[in-house]
Amino acid sequence: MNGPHGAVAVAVTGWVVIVLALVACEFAARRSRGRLPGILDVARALQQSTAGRWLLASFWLWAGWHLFVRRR
Amino acid sequence: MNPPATSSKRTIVVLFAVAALYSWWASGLRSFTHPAALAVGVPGVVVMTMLGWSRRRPTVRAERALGRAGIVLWAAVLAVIVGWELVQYVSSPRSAHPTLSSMADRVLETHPARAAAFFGWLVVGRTILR
Repeated sequence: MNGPHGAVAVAVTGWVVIVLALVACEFAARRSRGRLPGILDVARALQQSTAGRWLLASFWLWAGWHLFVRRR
Repeated sequence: MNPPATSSKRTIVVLFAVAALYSWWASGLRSFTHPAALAVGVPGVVVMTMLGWSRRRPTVRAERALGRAGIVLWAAVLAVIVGWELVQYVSSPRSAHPTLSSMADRVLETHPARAAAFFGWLVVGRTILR
């Protein structure tokens, strides 16, 4: 596909596929009866370690700064 | 005197209202200004300080909690997101190559949407401290 419209279509399709993959992974995790972790399990596991908590907090702070201070 | 449960509920309602008002005020500030930086920086410093003071010890190793398959699955998902974000980030024009940030900017164009997002951000910060 050529031109800006083609590029937009490719980019948006990519993001839609990623969102669908996220939903599919979460769905698979819920159906796996504990064999696969869901996204909240990952967050909880990160919270259980000191480094994980600092990592989460750093990302949280960066996200706040990026979204609310440095937004266009 | 009120029973402790009622008092605790009242505290939660007050905290909720304060956070909502703070979110409305903070999300109305102009970007790239000192007040906007302070509005985000103050909760940030509070969370980081409380995290530093926290005496909580690790309970279960992440590898055991998630399992190898879980780590591989979610690491792969994260790698795809970061990879696609980078592809879009280095491409131009931005209107044809939306990044997570540029999509968020469009979603957060209105004050109520920004306030709701700011409130959610505060809630996540509180959750990290649990």
